[in-house]
Amino acid sequence: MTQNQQFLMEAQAQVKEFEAKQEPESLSLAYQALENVTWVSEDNLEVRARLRTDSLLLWLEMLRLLDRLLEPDFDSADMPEKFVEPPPVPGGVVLRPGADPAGIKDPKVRAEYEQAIAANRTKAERYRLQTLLRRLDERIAPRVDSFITQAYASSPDDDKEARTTIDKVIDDAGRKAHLLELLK
Amino acid sequence: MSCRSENSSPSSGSGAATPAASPAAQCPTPCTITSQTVKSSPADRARTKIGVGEEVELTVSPAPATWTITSGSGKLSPSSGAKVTFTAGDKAESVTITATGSGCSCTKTFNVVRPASWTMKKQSGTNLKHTAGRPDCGWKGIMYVHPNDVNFYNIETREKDSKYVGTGAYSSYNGDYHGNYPLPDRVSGWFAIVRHNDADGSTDDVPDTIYTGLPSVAATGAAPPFTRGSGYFPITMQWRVAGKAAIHDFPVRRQEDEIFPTGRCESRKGGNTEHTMHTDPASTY
Repeated sequence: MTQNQQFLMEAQAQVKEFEAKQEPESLSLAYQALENVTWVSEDNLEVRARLRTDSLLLWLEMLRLLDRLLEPDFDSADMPEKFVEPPPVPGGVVLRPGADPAGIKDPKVRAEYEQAIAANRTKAERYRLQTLLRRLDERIAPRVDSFITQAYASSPDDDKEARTTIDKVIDDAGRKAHLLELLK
Repeated sequence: MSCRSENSSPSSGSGAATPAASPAAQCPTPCTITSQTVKSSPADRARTKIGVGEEVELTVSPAPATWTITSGSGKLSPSSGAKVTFTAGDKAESVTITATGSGCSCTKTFNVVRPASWTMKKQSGTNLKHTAGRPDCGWKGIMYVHPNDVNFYNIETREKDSKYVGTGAYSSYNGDYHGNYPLPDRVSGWFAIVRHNDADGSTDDVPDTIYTGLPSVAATGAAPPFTRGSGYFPITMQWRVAGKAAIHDFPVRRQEDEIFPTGRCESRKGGNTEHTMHTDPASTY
């Protein structure tokens, strides 16, 4: 196995890992490994062509995954909180943020507080994921542009292969239009 | 033998041009490396002091070159070409990167630093929380990670839960968890750093609500002199390079509360103190 094939396999494995766990670090490791595939350095033309095709597929797959997970309505100004404000309780005491729900006697009020804590935790996880995915999109998208223009924009046959693959893999209309524009 | 240059200066430094029998024959044009941090804050993007996880774009001239980390750790992506990206690891260390091409090699050395401490500032545009006639106080704070002369955008932080230690009016809080974070780890979720400025450092910008709590009248008294009370959570914040397995503790810092007999209430965290008097009007954040 060549070093290029090793990098490609590593990138494929990290993409699979990302699909399974949605931990952005996996996608970061994937694009860094894929960036190290230098298909032009392969002497064997068949191997070279296969590497180029596999690389294109994987770059596009990363964009497809990003498009699937990036939420268009995500508002970065809508921050989560570190703590949820506890509800008022009787007896003239005021609880601290972070207070144990078990200390709230009224079951309805306690349940609402527990739900608010769970909702804030979910919001924080979502905020983290969307923040990190946006950073990855900023890194990966220009690299895909560069790969397509360098590897595929020089001959009609290349153009056809790239167009077919982009059309097949990319779902997002705006992304697809942008990538196809690179081939003109 | 190849020509060498250090930190973009081919004729100076420990890796300066190496004498050779006929260097021009093998290294016709000594190379130089220029660097630019991916993030634009701090403003000096050519700095060689960087935070753990920071990314720096490296460009070699003349190009292309093969790039290697010859000392230290981190990641280069790709490992050849005119322009590559170096991503620092999570160690505090000196990292030397070498570019080799056309019979020449040149190096660039970076000083990678870890987050060393954190502080809190009251969130701008927010008020203090207070109950009229009672000795309580609270505020919204934003955490900042230091040092400030690097950007820690590629780290995230969380809190490891801790138990209250209190006396006097706050005795009833003894043993309470700060966050009541879920088992088995008893840690908060991760919060990614999202902003940096030179004056304050790197921050997640997520509001933290710091409040003394208000014990019962039986514990504090109803009027001056109030029953004195003091207590703290020994807060352990943790950090990691985003998504990485290795987790590191910041030094422990206390989140402190105090009731004075006069009716003054103080809340202290991360070097910031806020206070109210029991006579202050009621207010919320």
